[in-house]
Amino acid sequence: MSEAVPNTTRERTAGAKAAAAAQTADARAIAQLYGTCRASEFGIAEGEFREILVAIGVKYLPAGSGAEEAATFYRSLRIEELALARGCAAGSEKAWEVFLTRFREKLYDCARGLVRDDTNAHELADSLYAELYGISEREGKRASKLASYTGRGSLEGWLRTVLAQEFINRYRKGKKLVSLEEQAEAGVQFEAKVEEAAPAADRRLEESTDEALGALNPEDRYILSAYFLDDRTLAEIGKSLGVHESTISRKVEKLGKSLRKAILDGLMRRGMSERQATEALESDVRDLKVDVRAKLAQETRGSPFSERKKR
Amino acid sequence: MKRQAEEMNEVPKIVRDRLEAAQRAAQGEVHPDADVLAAFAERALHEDERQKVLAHLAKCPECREVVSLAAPVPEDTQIVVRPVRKRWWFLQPAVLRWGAVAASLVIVAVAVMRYAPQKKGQISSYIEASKTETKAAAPAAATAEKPAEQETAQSARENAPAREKTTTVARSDTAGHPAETPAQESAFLAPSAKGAAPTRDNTQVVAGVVTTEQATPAAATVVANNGQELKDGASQPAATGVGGGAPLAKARKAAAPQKEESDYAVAADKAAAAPAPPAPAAQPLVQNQQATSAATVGETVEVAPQTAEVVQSQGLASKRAERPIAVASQNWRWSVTDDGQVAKLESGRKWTKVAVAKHVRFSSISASGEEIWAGGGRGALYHSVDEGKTWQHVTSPTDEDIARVDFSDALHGTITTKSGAKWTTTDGGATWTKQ
Repeated sequence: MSEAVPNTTRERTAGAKAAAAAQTADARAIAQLYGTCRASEFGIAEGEFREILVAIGVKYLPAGSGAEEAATFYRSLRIEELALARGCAAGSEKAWEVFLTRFREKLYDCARGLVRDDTNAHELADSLYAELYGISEREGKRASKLASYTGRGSLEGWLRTVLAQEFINRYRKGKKLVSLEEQAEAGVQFEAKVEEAAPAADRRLEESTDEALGALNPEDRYILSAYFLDDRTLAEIGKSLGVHESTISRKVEKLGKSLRKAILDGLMRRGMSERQATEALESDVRDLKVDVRAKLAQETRGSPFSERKKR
Repeated sequence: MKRQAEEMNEVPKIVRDRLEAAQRAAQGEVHPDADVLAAFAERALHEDERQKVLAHLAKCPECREVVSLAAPVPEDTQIVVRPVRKRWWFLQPAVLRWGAVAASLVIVAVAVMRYAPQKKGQISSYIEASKTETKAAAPAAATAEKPAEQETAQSARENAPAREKTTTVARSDTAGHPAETPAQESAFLAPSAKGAAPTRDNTQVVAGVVTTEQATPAAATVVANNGQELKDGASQPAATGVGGGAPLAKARKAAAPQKEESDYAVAADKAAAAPAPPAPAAQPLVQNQQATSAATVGETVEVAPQTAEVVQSQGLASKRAERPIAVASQNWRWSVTDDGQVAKLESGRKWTKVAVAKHVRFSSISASGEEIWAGGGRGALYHSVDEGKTWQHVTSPTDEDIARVDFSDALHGTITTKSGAKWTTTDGGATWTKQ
């Protein structure tokens, strides 16, 4: 027991030395990066720059990462764009000048791509500019959205993503505020509320399907959701994954077949015969629900209140 | 015949339901930052992080929407036939144009260089000398030129660029084949030996030189490197004449099938890669070259535009060969599957097989507006005037398998069989003319 004490002390000393060495290496990497980007030009001191990088590291680096790992991570960041964004957030005129020269038109183009109407596109882009500049104040400081940019992707990609989020938020707000006149025109107020309660499927069918879906990798599940739930085109999905649309087409077809087989196997494992399993899969009780809905919809279309639909 | 559509991409309804259920269950999940989503879209994330984002995206419709909207180019403004093949830099129109001009200048320089010594009062002595020395010197000149021709054919096969690559070939010729240089020099120094071989007429001699240089741009560039004075006057026609060399090689390359990623494109590729289309297109060019080789200087001027025309049609042919998926409109695309069935892509989402005719294995399809033409085995040819809803059998002039169908409208079109036979119609298939 008496020997254990000096050992522990020695270990502690070694640990402290290693931590100090790591910090030194970390500091050296940050200093090197500071020299390569234009942070000083945008009014960011080396100390501030280090704080920014350390905060990003804390956010994204896994716990227990060493100095080497941290340095590699810092180098993978878009340092120059990070310095520009943080310079803008801090209110540097030079940084804003550079930012507007590089991204102003791109942002308007992107907004036009989303809205397809010049006036609304400008409105959307300008509202984002206001947030980027920081019209609201937090703790007595201007809160610029650019302060949340961490340099993981390009600044342009980040701006596009933020703009898309802004667009979706606006669209949702707009959707909620539909005037009564518009509702009357559409005949919506006379629509019968659709009964949501769906007949429950066979528990074994649900379990088998969940099992089959759970066995897929995240990318395959993403493809299925994007294709079958969002009705995205093959090209859109392909673009988001960086592959050709034909690859997605093949995958969707293959996934459909493999899922069917996996669900059938799962049903048979749960005590169904092959015929029963096939019947359970093919004649889903939800089909009945869909048919009834379609029939109701057809009858509703003939009603005198839904003039628009009739045309 | 009624269209019977078969959905190619379907999953049981329970799968959609369970995907939706998983979405509902994950509603409270924290969304990734805009930063991470941007990095995901740019493929800048580590694999484990990417998998985490994908797992979230599979359950989060909002983030999927954001990723889709943040994509750089709006999708529906594009009309994509298939991924555009990378065009080599030396096949760019500007490079070809200037390359052709440069090559023509070189040819003129060679012609002038060879012609000049003869002009300086040597014509009569040259003719006289040629009478006596032809038989002895001609074989020497012939052997000196042959390797150069072979080498040029080789370089042409390697798809030599019009300007830069020929220059390098020329340099290697001079450096790498010392045996050729004295022989060529001797031909230069003793015009009687070379000039008298084909004929004694000066004009014809020059024409011979021009043709030789058309076949051997390498040798032509040697002269340019030597810094000869070039005359602008005769450059233009010759330029067009020589410019055909590179597209010829290009057309041959374009005719070769390329393995593409698209599964439906593959079937159509087979049709496009059939031996028929490139062969007839390449033939006239060869004939033209032969015509050029037999021409005088004056004739070269006339021949050049013809060659240019051939090059143009060659370009068209190669473009058509690269069009395996036919485009009918912005929302529809047509193709032929691996198992020989007609398929259409609707709104960019679903390839749906369209039953056109039983027991027919289709190999090629052509679409223009609402007019669709499909050709297949044993001369089967079908036509739809309503975007593929109904199909009519059209009597084709052949029992051979149709490898390629190309219709520009309801009346005008061409079918090409596997053996390369081409049939043209101008009345929607009522009558056919063999080409």
